[in-house]
Amino acid sequence: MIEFTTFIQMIIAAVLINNVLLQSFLGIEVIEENVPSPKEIFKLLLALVISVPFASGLGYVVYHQVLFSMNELGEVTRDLTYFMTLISVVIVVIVMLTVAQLIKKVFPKVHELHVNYTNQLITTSLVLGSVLIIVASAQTLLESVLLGVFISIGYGLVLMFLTLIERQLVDAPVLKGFRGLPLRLIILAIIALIVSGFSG
Amino acid sequence: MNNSFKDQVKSSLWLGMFKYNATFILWVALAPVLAITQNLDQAIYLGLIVTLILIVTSLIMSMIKTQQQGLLYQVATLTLIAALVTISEMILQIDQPAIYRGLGIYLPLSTISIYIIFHRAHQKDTTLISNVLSKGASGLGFLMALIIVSIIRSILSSGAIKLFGIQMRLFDVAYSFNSMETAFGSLLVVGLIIGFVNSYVNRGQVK
Repeated sequence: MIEFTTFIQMIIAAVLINNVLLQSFLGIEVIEENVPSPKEIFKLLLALVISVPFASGLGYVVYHQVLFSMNELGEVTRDLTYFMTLISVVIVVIVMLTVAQLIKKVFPKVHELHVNYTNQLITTSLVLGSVLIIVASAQTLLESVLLGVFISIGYGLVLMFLTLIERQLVDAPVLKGFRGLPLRLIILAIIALIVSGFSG
Repeated sequence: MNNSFKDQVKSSLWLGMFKYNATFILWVALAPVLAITQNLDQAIYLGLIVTLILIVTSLIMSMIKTQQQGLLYQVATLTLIAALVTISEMILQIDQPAIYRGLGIYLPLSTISIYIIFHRAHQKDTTLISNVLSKGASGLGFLMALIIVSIIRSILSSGAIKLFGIQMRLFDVAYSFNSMETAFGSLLVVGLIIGFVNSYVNRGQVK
């Protein structure tokens, strides 16, 4: 079981201090064309909160049960960790397609909103990067699943900030060449500077 | 060498590296550019690995005669790229362990970047040579972007350019901005470069 204080530290670290979009730049592909609207961010968040924990949990199990094992004396008996990249990509593709079909069967109304993001998320570094980060840092399966949830929430939070701030700057006197992605990157830089204050 | 082949090479290089540069014009594969450019050595290694994998993937996938937009083709491309990245990880881990540790998760993550660049690379026609040239040029354009951003960040954060153990100091470190080494610095530098390039490319356009 995870202690309460450790749980709170995990939330703050995953959502703010080690935010995947601000510190690791995972999932930045989503803002390259246009920033999703707040409603679309909620739908994206739904897709992520289901997919990322599922993928990280699966990745954790595959890593610790199949690719790497140690005996009671601490000696490595099997080390196939060089397959982790290939297996992570396969896990991400399978999980994304499976989750899309699951949502189609269980929540058909949500599915037509979610399906746009499945292909996008497969080609996004967020899910793959989250799996790799969580497999390297989580100690237990529960921790890997919880980290997946909080990483998704942290990503959605920063995306929401970005959307809301960009909407306020629609009428601002921004140079024509800086509208779009350059402005979004500068806004993210300022948010990253603010959030870095939380790390002390 | 045939003149038309020379022209084809020049044209592919111009299109892939400058007119349709993956980072500054097409705005794709930004995660490695933002994350790896703290260190010029790592940026060069990653850029070279990406270029090589793009060339090998285009060679192999060009030989597979199938509908290019099909799901099977896309999955096969992604799997091939992931396999080549795994091989390059193994080689780098043995040959350059310090660079391998520095790249961290961004070497496996380059799978996605390579896949996106592979599909977005501009090509004039579907011949094998055109395919390989266009993907190789896009990879070189990505390498160029990594080098430019690394040099700028390195100069702003430490006043010097450090390359494979050689340091070229431009000004005293007291005048540098340490924050350029952080996430804030990388987002700001890349955002400003893309903004200036976009302004230059779209100059004179009324919108």
